[in-house]
Amino acid sequence: MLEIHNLTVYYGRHPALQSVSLALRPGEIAAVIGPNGAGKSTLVKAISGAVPVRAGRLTLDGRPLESLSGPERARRIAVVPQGGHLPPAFTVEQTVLLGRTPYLGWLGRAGPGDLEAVETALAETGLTGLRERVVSELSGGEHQRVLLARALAARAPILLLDEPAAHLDLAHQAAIFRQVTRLSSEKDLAVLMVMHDLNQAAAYADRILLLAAGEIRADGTPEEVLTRVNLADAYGVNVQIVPHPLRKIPLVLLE
Amino acid sequence: MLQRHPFLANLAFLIFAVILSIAVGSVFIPPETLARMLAERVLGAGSGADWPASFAAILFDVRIPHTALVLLTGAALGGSGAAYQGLFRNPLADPYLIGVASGAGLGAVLALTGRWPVTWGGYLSVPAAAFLGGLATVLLVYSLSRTGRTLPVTTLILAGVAISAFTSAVTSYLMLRSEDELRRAIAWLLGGSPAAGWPPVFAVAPYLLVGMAGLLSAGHALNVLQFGEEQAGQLGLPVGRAKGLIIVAASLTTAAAVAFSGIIGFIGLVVPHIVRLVWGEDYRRLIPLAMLGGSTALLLSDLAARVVLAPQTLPVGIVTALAGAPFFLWLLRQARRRAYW
Amino acid sequence: MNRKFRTTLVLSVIFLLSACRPAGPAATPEPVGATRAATATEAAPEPVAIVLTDGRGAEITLDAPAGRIVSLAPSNTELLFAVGAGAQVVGRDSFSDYPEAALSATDIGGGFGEIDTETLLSLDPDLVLSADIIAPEQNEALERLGLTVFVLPNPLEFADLYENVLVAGALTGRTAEAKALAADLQSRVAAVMQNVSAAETTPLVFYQLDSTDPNAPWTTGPGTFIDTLIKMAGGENLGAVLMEPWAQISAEDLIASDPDIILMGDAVWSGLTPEDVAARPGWGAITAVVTGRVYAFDDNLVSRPGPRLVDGLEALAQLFHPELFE
Repeated sequence: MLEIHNLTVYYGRHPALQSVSLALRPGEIAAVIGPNGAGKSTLVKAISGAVPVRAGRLTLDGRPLESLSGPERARRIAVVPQGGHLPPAFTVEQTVLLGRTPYLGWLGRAGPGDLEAVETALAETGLTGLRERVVSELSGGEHQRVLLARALAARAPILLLDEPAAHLDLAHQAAIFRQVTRLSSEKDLAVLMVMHDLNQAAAYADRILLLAAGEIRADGTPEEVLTRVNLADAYGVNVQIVPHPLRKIPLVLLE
Repeated sequence: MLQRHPFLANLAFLIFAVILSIAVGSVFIPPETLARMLAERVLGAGSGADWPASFAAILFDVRIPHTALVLLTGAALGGSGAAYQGLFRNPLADPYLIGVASGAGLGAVLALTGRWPVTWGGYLSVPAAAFLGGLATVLLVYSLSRTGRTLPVTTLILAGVAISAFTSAVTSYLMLRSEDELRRAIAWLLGGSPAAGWPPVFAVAPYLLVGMAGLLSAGHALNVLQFGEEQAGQLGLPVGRAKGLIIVAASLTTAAAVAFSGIIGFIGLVVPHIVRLVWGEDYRRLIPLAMLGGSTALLLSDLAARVVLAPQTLPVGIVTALAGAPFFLWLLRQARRRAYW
Repeated sequence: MNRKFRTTLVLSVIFLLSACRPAGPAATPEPVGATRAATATEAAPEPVAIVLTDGRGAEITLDAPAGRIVSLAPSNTELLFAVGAGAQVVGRDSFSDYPEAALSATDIGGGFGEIDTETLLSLDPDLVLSADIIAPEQNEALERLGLTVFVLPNPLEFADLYENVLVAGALTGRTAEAKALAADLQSRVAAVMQNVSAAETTPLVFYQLDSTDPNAPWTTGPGTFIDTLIKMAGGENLGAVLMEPWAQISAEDLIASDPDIILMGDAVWSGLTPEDVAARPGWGAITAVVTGRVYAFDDNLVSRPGPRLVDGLEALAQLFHPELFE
């Protein structure tokens, strides 16, 4: 279980996150929503060690995160970064294999276990047939699947995704989110996913964290978080909440 | 063969270049005599020397050590060029990007204009000063670019360019002030030290081998760094240490190469691109292939430089650019449909 | 030495270093100022070993007079031929083009600063006659290959030149010829001095080394052999007021100084004519141009530190004081 207490992150003199606390259990999918600049990506970076933490305590199954080495942390926390740049000349397989970096030594020699993990990750994301293709020849949806496969190859119990569906069309967005939810339940993964679309967050997440100005404004089930008051407070726009016609989740409509 | 066995193919090219480099020179030694001379020297077998005494000196004291030095230099330039392109994720990076060449130039010209003794403790002072100048400049650029714990590569490149401009200006000024040594300085900057025989090879080999071993080990780290430093860190790579090691190894290698061979353009820029175009972008393979390719390219260029206008020896940098640029353009056109950078 | 070529070299290097300064033509003249150390300790009879100290201060021993010599500088080649050892010269650097017989010796390179060591070794020389312009590392590298290298220092005055003649004679077993040559050179210099002492005028002379940039031509400053020769020939070197031995002078200063004579040392390789000089903006008013005393001058006579320096001195004196040489 990932536990975060009073996490505070500064960019220079500007606070990006202030006293953020949350806990993430295995098998749980938490969506992080909030207006631009709320600190959503910063939260992902702070947990994955990409930005320094000013204050607060991050623990994983009781162990402080800062006591873990880089590879140790990366074995436990895998990241699908926002708009993740991939070297255009790498092949799909090569890219996914580099997701095994936390297990490989300095020289990067891959053993049978690593190759098997890559094979599984390719299969889980439907990339097996594209393994020889170079990244620059891939479509946007395939590109995002490569990033997901790279993260899965690490076999980390915690998966952080920063807007994994950005720039994808509706069908590909749905495909990515379905893959994530399926993998989470199959492998008991704890998933923290930054999302823009509130209705998708409601549809795919068990739990929603509403972030604004670096603070958590609401944390709970979609029904609890997606309220007129919360969203007006965080986004400064008026919305209507209506029940989803097919499922027991709220739908957010702009007024 | 070429596509499926890149190491064998490159090794074959290199062996071919080495044989050519040893067999061909401004003095013609018949191949059969050459073979017998080598057999006698290596195996101790032979029917006695029936060749002119000068042949032995030419082959064993001039040509073979020269070939060894060129081979090492080419490998150094190819390998560190590939490493810098990967580290800076910049296709225009070459081994001299962050100041090794300008620093080495300044070191050499300081030694020349300061009329330092020819040797210091057995080491020739001009190459030694060039080596130290190159390393010192990189260290200066490196320390100026560090902000806290991070080392932004863009800052590193910009600082390198600024320091290079400054040291080059000082070098030019010193050269103009010191007419007496100008000719020597020019000769050094274009072609390196005229020192011949094995001592230069033994002098640079330790630095080159240590640096090249460092570069060879860093292939995987360079692969991970292609995702950018943030992602590399999230993947568990010790980014700071990896960058430090690559910079130190590449600088050590380049500075050692520059010390005796002068500033040779194009090899470190073009050879890694050629390897990348033909065999793809995996730095665990790219670094060693760029070393093999760098050796081959420099040996052939050096051969052309020695032979084309014999007995005049052209500065090898002229040949590398003359031959390298058109070849590279041709290859770029061939590969234009493929993904690149 | 081909100055045009060296200019090109300088420019390439400056380009290579991408220096942040306006690139201008630069002449890179012969080095001067080396300490002089060569002394003929003994004019030995042929079979006895020859022991001499060279320009580096190194003691060089030859078991017998050198029979197969490689000369690394034009001045050395000229000196060797002048003492009658031309037949012993088996190799020469690319710039050695005088006397014509020297061209038949094997060219061992040096044009781009690098000597073709292989060809040099294949000549199997028993003496390599080096010079101040050769890099010390080069001398050392040749010695490491088992060759005997003797550095003949650049003369700073005529006495040094006579000594170089004697050294060249001692090294080659041409002691008698060398003595005769030294005496001849000495008397020719004395004759010029004698003639010039009667001169009533001291023309102001501008020696043009390289005028690729006519707004700032290169000339010779104080302390060079050319400066000395101009003085000895009864002239005044306009460049003597400059700070450096080799320097650029601005066209403005030059025109203001108004030389009586302009010597175009760069005419040999640039094809410049007096008309070209006269056509330069502002130069038409210079006395030398008005009086037609703009001469092409064979730079090799004054820039190569060999026996032809005396020819150079005679030529200069005749140009400066034609009335004394009728």
